[in-house]
Amino acid sequence: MTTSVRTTPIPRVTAVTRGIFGSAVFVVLLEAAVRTGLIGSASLPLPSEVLARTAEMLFEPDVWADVLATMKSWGLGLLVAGVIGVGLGMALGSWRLLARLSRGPVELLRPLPAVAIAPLLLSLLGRGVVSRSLAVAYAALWPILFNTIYGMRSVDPVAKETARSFGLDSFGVLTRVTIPTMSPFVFTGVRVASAIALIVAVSVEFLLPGGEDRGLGGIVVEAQAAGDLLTMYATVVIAGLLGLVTNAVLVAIERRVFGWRRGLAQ
Amino acid sequence: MTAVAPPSATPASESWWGRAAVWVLPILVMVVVWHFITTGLDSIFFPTPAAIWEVLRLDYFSGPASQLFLGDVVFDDLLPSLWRFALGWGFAVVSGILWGLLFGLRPGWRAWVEPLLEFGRAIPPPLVLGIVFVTFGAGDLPKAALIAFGAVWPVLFNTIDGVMSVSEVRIASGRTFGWGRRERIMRIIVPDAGSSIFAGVRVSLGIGLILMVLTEFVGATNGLGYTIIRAQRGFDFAAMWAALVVLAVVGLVLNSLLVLLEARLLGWRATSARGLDG
Amino acid sequence: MADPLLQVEDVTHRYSDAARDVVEDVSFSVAEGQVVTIVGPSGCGKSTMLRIVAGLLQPTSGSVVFEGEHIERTPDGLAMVFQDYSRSLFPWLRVRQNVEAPLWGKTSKQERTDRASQALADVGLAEHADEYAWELSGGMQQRVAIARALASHPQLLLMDEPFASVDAQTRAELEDLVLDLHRRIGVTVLLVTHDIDEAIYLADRVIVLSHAPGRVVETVDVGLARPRDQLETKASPQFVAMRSELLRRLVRPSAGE
Repeated sequence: MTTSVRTTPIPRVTAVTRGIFGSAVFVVLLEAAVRTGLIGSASLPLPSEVLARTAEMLFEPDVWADVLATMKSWGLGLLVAGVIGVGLGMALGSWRLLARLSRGPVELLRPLPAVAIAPLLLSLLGRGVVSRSLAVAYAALWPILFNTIYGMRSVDPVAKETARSFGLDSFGVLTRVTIPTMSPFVFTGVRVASAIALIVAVSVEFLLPGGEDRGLGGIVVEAQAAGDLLTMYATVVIAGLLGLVTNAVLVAIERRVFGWRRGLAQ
Repeated sequence: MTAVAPPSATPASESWWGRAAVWVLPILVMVVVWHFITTGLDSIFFPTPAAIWEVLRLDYFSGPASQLFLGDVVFDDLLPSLWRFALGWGFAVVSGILWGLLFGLRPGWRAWVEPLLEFGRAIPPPLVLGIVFVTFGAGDLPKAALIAFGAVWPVLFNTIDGVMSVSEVRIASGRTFGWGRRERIMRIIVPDAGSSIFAGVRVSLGIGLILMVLTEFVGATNGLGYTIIRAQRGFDFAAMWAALVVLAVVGLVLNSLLVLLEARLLGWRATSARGLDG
Repeated sequence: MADPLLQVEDVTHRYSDAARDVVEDVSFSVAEGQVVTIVGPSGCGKSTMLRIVAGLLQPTSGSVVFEGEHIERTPDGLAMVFQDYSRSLFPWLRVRQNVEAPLWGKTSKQERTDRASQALADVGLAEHADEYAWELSGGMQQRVAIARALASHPQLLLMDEPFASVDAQTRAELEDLVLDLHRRIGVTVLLVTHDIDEAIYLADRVIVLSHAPGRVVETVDVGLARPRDQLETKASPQFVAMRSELLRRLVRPSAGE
């Protein structure tokens, strides 16, 4: 009879076991496919070799210098976007008229893919971390801006009144009520922005003709020129792992700092 | 990670004129300010609005009647870009929703592939570009494939989230009406997950456009991205800015269409796509 | 004497990962035109019982016979009202469309519209037909849910603690609505509640379940006259006596447990 359309979630232990098993089977099947020639090794190197190369690369200091280069433009771009986004967001969240007036320009600027302005920035400011961070910032700005505005609008006027009744001045209300209410939203915006920021940071590196600060994108560009499929795949694996770690860290921070948000009725 | 879509109420009843003015006026002001800044700067990197318009007029709007008066660039670059984007992004949205439905309804199945999905989502799509080009060449299909690869994740995960958060009571109500599995999916789960799905689709649009441009920066022979790179090499910054304007307009149009579609399908929510007012 | 509309026999149910039964050997019947309420402490499995009757759950053992047939899935003559109205109604549909939903694909468009209008009129929501459900108050939303159940012209109306989520005044109004519907339309009702007063006030018969595992402790025939009134009936000596008796039964279960 159970024509249940949605099955119940499974216990964590089962889920984790299945996940590990599934991934292992996937890799093994892929390995078998390449070894038996089902998939030509010109298209796909042996997974075992990719993993070996990954391990190898993890011990090369050059690779870490590249990771750092990407992280630099990513992080700096996020920072700039955060400062502008939160500042602007707080202003637009507080003054409706300002928000209405900025609607036009924002709706026109927002959909422009940030990567598109990279060539201009590079021509203008050279290939340094500044031009790259600005491209990243342009992409990261919007999620942070909108989530900040949303957060500002979610501040409970009753909470503000209560704070004022305790004798707090405007600054006090800001720091004790507005900012704590807003913070989880801002953080969500940063989390969303960080994914897009990484995409842009790496994309910009494709436009650079190699060099010390080539970044992860640069590794791929050079490997592509040399037809080095193995290194390209290994870089992808490394980036994926880095991405997982970063996300896990962000989620952990969010849980720790904003755990109280869970208790609020959403 | 799911995309948060901050809601905004549709503007209270306002005159049509009022709404248009609030939109258009600031942009006009922007253009005027831009004019003064650029004429003052007199830098090749920052062409005046007039110069940009000249390029737009020549390249995009002054074609023969047989081409609907549209310039060559429209056919040589704009349309191919849009075509690749439509192919890749369209595929991503459809797959994302279908697989999202499947994995949302069957958490047991999802468990098997969950680590792979999380890993796939964590890979920055640009890095895959090199692999795609080396393995499959730089044609339209590989470009569309990369766009699809990057755009699918927000749709997939948001759909899964949406499906998982449909309340059990609502589904049970459907069962008491005698609705079978298909009916419950189409009539309850999909509408209920709708806003989550749309939030994912909106995020995927932005990612798709970024990847569209990127695939045309490297190893391309046409497209808007290619136009930009070509302009950069030829130091023709007016042409570059013209392409940027076109890109912005394309993005704006696509976004607006999406917002309209969402309003139509999910109009029951007084809150809709994130906006500044409301 | 005609067969009862609903016959529940020795129903026992245990959830798959549970240590013990949630309901055990529950038997009762509901005759046509009756209002039967099931009352019991939290966790006694009364909601589970109702879901089994509705065909949403298959009991571990025992049988449920409705209109002479065993229940495998929700049969056509049955409709259910859930406690959580906001989660059971469809927020993307207007009130009228919500009420029509059970009839999609089953009747002609005209018939659907007519039935929905009738149901909305019966619960007093005719003017709100074109609003969205979430725009209404809690009590009104539950009325929409009741109208939706009525639109399918059910033989048996099941109600799962339908008034637990509204305030006391609204609860009184809704209780009277149920009595009114029963009087005018003659629908048979099986209602589950934790509120003893409500159980007695509405019912022809009250079934008392013990705490987990839920067993039928007592079945009480409510002899109170109809039509009933919130003030007079609840103040009458028979009502008070019945309430004390049931309270005693629930707080201190009978010996030999």
